[in-house]
Amino acid sequence: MKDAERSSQVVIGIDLGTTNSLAAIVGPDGPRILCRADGTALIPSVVSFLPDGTHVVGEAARAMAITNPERTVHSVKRLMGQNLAEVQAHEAGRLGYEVTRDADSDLARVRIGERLLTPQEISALILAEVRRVAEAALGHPVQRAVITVPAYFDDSQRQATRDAARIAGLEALRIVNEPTAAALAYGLDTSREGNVVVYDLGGGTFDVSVLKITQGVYKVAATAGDTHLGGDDFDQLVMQRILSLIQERAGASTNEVPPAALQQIRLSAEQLKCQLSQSDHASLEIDLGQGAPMRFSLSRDAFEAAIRPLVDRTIACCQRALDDAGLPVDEVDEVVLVGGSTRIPLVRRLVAETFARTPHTELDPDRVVALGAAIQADVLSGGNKDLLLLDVIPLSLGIETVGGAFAKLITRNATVPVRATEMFSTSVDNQTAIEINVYQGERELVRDCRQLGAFKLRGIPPMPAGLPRIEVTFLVDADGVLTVSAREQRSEVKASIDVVPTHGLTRDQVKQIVRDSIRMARDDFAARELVELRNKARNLVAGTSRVLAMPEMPFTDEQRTSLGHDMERLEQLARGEDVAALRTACDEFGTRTQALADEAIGAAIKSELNRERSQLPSSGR
Amino acid sequence: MAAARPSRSEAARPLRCPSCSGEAGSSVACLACGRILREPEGATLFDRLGLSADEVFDAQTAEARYLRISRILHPDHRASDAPDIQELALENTARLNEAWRTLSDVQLRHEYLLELYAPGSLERHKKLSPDFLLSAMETSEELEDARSSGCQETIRRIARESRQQIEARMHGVASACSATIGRIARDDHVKEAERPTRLLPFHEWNIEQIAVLLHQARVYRRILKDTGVRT
Repeated sequence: MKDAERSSQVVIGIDLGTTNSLAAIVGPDGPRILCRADGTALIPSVVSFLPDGTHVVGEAARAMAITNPERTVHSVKRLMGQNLAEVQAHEAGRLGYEVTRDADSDLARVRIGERLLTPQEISALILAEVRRVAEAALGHPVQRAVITVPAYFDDSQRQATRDAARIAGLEALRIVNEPTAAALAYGLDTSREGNVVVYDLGGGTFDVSVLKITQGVYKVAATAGDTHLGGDDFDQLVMQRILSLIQERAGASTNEVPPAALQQIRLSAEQLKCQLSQSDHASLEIDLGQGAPMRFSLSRDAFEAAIRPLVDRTIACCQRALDDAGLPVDEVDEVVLVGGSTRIPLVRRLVAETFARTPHTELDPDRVVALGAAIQADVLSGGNKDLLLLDVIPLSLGIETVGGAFAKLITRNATVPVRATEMFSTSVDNQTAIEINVYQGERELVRDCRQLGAFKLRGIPPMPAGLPRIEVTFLVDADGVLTVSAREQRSEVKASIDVVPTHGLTRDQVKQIVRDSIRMARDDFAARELVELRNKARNLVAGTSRVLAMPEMPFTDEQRTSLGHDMERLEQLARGEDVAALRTACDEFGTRTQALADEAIGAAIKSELNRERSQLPSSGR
Repeated sequence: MAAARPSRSEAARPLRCPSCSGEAGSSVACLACGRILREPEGATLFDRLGLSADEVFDAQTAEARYLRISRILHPDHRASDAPDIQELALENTARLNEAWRTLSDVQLRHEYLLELYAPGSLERHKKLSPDFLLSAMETSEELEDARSSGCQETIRRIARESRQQIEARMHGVASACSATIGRIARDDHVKEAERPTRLLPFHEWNIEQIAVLLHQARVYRRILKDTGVRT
């Protein structure tokens, strides 16, 4: 009982990455990665949907990127909390699968055949796989997790991550920023103090966070980043080079390259990139299935020249983060590198130059975030009272005012949880509702910021225009997620709020998806039960027939006819799909024949004994 | 922002913890017994950090306080508490963060102090002299020209000069504050709740001076920010 309790309270840390995902936990010997039996831990964040309606996640799905490109979803993290226009602007031409929108909203959806899936649902499938691996490693169920997101994720991207967890049946106890998690993992074994910069360049996103560590308190001073900049973009640049070479040699337009070949080229580009972290020159053969395989080679110099503008962008972000933190570069004590893309020598060199010190690379950049998430999970489950994380909101948050101006209520890099209140009133007599448009961003006009949603205040008591005093409170919690509440001060009436998220799912939609997935799970269960019941029915019929065939069984003709009828009906039901009817029929038949079976046992024993004495068994069994 | 509204008259000092009846040390949590408190009406941002508005602000002491109270309050350390306690922890941590954000910034802290002692004075004395506005406007225009022509030398000079302007004003604010607030702090014969109202008219000229200096410092902070030059 104690153990069961403990296991149901266990909280794991999950790094839900653009390229790979994995889980970790704090055990008696400190944080450790949860591995499969074969020792592997990284689960490629790829889901492949098979024509028979099932799906595979991870390595198996990644292998299908070439054979099943249009139904294999990679980098879904880049779609989280985005609408179609944003996806098209950032991801044009780089995804092998089709991104579209559904009829009544502008949200990005992935089209798999006839199905339209939200990025949240696809992320949930990845989370479910991570959970399965974790449960297998731990030997008990897992219900709660700390999940990491890029520090620069805005409200809607965080919400989407929380929703994905809910769909996967996981309670996301906390959404933690990836660079902050990495700092925790690095800080643990050294208990260092001072100013730390975490430079986190992953598969799809870039973050930089400046932290001040004092006596176990990790206080983020500032964060900056780009949620559409990462290793994927480097692959894309290499891919473009390969494509133009193909064009040169074949003279054909690259628009006609089939999706499967594009995926092949994408994988090759990634391989070349990785090779160039080890050597000055890389080359490989690309077999596109038509004509002879092509050899493509790339020098590190050429690769670095191609990616340089992107890496420079990350360095500019570092400067901004230092400015926002009010920290001169010479007061930075440590620099930590996180994310697979920090294996690129150019990245290491530029970071070292910028901060004039050698960055830390001791911990595996692919695993450090999961380890940090596990440490935070340990804090939340009460296992660690010494550590405290104080994180910030990455982007300013505010409302639309007259003329489309953006009025900031909470400025970026404010420590969360953070709260702001604002007074509103009505402009028309007896007005009972007000709409507030909430935005996140740094620009002066709301049209240049991201709309988070429309908050509709209802239930304002009818009063002359301008008389109601409605106090609206904006609260950003420790996950960086916004909630809005309102109160009319004269009447003390709590105005109710309907939230229409611009880029996310409403509560009802999430509930619906969860219900659907439970129903789907139930359908799966029903299918399994049907198979089992059919087997059972077949065995019952076979067993009974055998008994009836025994010449020594003392059955009356009436009994034989009745049993024959029942068996016929059972066989008929076993051929059908009605699980409930088949279950009932099996149960009834079982009860009826139980009595006969009891009788039969006596006779059977007698006959078996006789047979054994007289001859060898007639059947094989 | 009801609780954050500057007003010195209501909260009783020292703040007592209703649970252990010891001195709470903060209006949002009891440092003695670790209980989360419902903030009393009229508590100030200083009360949240358990500091006195009348004493010289020491950044290190204040930060240590902030982190200590954070450890007690933070939702991460309250994850297994009852939902209503968790909600209060969230609410109070937001209040604590608000206090630290305002008080750790030298400009915001002095603006808040001024409002605390002389409510409405920032608004009342926001008209700046034509001479000052003209000179600030000229600097702004010069900066704009330098930025469009890419003249780094001029930009750096403007940044340096703006910094000097800010420093001079904050120095003025500090000495004016010590003449006003410092005096209040030393005057033990005046009952705490009565201090501001009794002493303020006497120092009205100082209040105006502080308000104007703070407004001017703000103008130069904006110019400094526009230069994009790092500190």
